[in-house]
Amino acid sequence: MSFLLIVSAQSTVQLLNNQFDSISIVPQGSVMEIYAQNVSLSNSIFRGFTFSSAGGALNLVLETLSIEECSFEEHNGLNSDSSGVLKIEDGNPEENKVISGSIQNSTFTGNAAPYGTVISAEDLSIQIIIHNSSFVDNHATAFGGVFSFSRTSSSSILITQTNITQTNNNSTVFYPQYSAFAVNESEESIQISNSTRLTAIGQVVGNFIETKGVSKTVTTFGNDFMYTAKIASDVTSNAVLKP
Amino acid sequence: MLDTFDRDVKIGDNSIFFISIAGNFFDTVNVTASSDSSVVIEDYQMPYSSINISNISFKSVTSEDTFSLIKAVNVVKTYFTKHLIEDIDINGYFVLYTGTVTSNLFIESNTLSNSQKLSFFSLQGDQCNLIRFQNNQVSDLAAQQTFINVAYGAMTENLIFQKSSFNTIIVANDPNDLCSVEFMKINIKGESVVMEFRCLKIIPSSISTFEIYSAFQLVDTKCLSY
Repeated sequence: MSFLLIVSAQSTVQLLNNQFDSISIVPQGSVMEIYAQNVSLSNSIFRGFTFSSAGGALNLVLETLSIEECSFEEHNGLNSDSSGVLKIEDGNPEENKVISGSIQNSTFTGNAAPYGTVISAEDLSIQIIIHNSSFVDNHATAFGGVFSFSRTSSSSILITQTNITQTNNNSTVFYPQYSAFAVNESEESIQISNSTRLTAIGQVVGNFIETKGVSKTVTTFGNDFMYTAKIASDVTSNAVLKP
Repeated sequence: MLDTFDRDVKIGDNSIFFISIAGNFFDTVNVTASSDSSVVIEDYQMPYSSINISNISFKSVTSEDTFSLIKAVNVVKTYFTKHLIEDIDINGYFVLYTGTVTSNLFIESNTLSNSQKLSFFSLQGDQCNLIRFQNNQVSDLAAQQTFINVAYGAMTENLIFQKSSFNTIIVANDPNDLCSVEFMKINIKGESVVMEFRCLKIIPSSISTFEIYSAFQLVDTKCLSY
């Protein structure tokens, strides 16, 4: 029992126990744009979004993001500059705050976009924790990665007990140097540990991490990390998985 | 004179003022340019009062001009519940809500289906305190503007969307309009209002330190005593 309980100190936009299915934006725009301090998505299904926007399917301008028990399935970024499922932005970059994100017990399956198919973040400082989640067959159809970080500073992504599986072929991957993680001119720490598995299967398996531009620092470390690259017998690319 | 005094005291204390609009049917309506909405409530802000708008059926409503089914401006605690909306062809919103302060707004258990150009709701104002949107079923719609639009300068209690289903919705802006549209746009421009306590003194001392720290966001602890 407390003397005084203030529940409004950190107000949040909450989406819980919802289902969003087969939503299209024509000709351009994100499916959702949320500008708020805190955003929480839980126990919800997001399926079958089609959109054309550099802001991605969910354009989130915030300070903290929490995703728990959600599934994101079969979203398609259509035009050439579309990012993917989650585009995270800093609404007040002059304040130099660190944006924090947490993804737990969630799945991302069968999504496609030119870059940042699952998460893209640009021009910010962000710390993301992903735990006990699954990323299966999310395709970067052009120049970027499934996770894309561009011009980030003092940023990190920690992935634990998570499955990342890519089954690719030439019809789904048009850029053979696509990668699971694309880091561009960023200061980024990628830590993968505790039974996380990254599996790439198919004709084009891409790279594990691709760095472009003048990235300041990109470090990767972890333990108990398992990866497998199974190149199909009719492989047409010599790109391989590089841990 | 005494009667007047008594009534004023009641108004100031716990009187409840209640407006209910329920159980109406709008069927096969072609709206002309003389109106911008079917139901309008404006400037109802009596303390301790609430408004209930429920169980209205809108079916086969058409309009060539901008038109909303329900319009509310500067009203207090409001419930929009259990409406049935189908076969609508209007360029507007089911609920168009504007007000300086939106406090306790509930949009619950509504069903929208098989409609053209209709968007769900637009809420705009300076500040919102507790907006709850739940148990709504929406399917087979083609909208021409942002389908769910929430824009406030600040938020002091959570904005909650829950237990709702959206299926097969196309948001396509007017071909003459170059602006992008979204299915859902939530724009809380300012930071959430945080209550601050400075130079706080708590008496008696039977409250544990743990409870105090869990209960407050302490801004200036230097002068905290308890």
